[in-house]
Amino acid sequence: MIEVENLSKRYGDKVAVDGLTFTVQPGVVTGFLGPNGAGKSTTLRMIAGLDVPTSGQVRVNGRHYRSSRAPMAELGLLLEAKSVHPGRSARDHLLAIGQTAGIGKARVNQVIELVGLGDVAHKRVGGYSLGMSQRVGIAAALLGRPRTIVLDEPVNGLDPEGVRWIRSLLRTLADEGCTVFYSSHLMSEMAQTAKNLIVIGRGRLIADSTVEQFIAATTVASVVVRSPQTGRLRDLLDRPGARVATEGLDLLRVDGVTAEEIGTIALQAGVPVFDLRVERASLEDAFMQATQDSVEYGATGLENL
Amino acid sequence: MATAAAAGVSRIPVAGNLTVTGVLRSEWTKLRSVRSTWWLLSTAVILTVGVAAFVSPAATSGQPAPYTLARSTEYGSLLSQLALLVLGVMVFTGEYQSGLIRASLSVVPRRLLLLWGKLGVFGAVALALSIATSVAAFALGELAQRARSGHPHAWFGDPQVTRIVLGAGLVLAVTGIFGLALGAIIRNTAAGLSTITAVFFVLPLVFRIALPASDQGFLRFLPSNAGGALWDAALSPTSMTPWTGFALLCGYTAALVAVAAWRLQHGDA
Repeated sequence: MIEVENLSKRYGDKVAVDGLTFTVQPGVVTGFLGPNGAGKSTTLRMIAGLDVPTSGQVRVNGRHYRSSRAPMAELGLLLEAKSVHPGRSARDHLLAIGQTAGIGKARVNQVIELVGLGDVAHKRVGGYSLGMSQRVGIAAALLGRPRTIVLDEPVNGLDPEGVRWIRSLLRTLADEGCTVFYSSHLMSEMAQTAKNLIVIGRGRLIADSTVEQFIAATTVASVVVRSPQTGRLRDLLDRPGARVATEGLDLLRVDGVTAEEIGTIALQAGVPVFDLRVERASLEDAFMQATQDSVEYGATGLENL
Repeated sequence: MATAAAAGVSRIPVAGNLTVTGVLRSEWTKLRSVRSTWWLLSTAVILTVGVAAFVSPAATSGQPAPYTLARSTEYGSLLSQLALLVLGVMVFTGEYQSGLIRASLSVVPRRLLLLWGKLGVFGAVALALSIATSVAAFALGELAQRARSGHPHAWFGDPQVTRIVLGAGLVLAVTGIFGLALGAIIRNTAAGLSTITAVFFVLPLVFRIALPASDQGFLRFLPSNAGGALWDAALSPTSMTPWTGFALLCGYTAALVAVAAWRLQHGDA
């Protein structure tokens, strides 16, 4: 469990994290979303005791991480930036990390095989691709079999097979009772993996809910209707609260009226309907909607392309 | 990566408590597993011993015994000193520049343990290496000298010899720790190396050239000269006494270590 209480971090004049409060529960995968510069990495570093909060506090599994007696059993961490000496082999890197907690070569070899680096673990990390470096970082996070695991952009640089592997890894960890907290920019990926979400923008909390609740609360589901008599159907649906848009010769997109209502109205009027489906917004739509006011580094458009 | 995720994540604990012994082991693994360590250490040994063997008889024949003795270890030891300073600086700056420091502190969140671990391992390696090197340098220098002149000058057991040979080892180990602490404070390899080179090698030279002799009294308080008093057999009237000089060098080093500890403990990683 990770408990973040009224957490703030200021660098000079710049407020990176501004009064965040949330709890990450064990047993489920929790995603951490926010636009670039929202303060995600800073928050993750404060959870791991690397950055010192300006105010507020963080507890990992009930206590302050920096006073933990067995840190590697409590928290496994992958940071976005590289954190491996390029001149050292993956095996020696992991051994050095593990030895602080009495972890030896057998466990190191186990995680090397687990992340699929068996053939290259003796080579110097400086020559690794982005994806391979990422696997070294993931191996380090898993090394101590921690109760809580925090990963900043774990799928960065991984191939599709690696992305799927991370997904099943995170779910398995959560099923085994771990607290799993990770950030990603890949919305479709997160929608498939995470059950809960923490969304922040400009250092403040925007949402703390399940993925479904977040999508439902921030966006409207619309209904797409296919009918040969779209003109008539349009007139029938012309009522307060409804928005109807023509999407093609025989297609309407309707907001503000449920599929059940549309079906009933069409039946009563004798209008044939060939297709009637609810289109839910994606996590990406919801995210864009929720964070549009807190985008720190937004592109301005494509006019000068 | 296709292997079943479950294989490695069954929740039987594998990680024990964070211990000093663990951190020492970890730091030894770090030190031995990068090539630069071996390059610097072997360069230090080869240069020190090599220079001592060749310089001593050529440059110092006809001088009084203690002077010969000092020169044969001193020239070489200066080279070792440079190598150990570089290695010392890089113990911390290497971690900051690669980002490894974050991985290290995330598994050693009680941060001072990391400093003590690095200090212990590097200090032990530096001390063992520099004493072994200065013993070898002196022995080779003296043997080369005997081969040339046909009679012995000095040998182990002479109090002067003991002070100079062991002193060179002690001073080198402490200056290495000086470099380590400076690296922990500065956190950048290029800046750390420039600073250490300036303090130990450039400033003493510049002052000696630029200032009139009457104004050079303070030079004895520079870290390099304070430490040098312990292995310098040809003490000039202006030098500090050997052990006072060494104590001053230890004082400087302790002050830097204290600043490094404070900075490590209180700042962001």
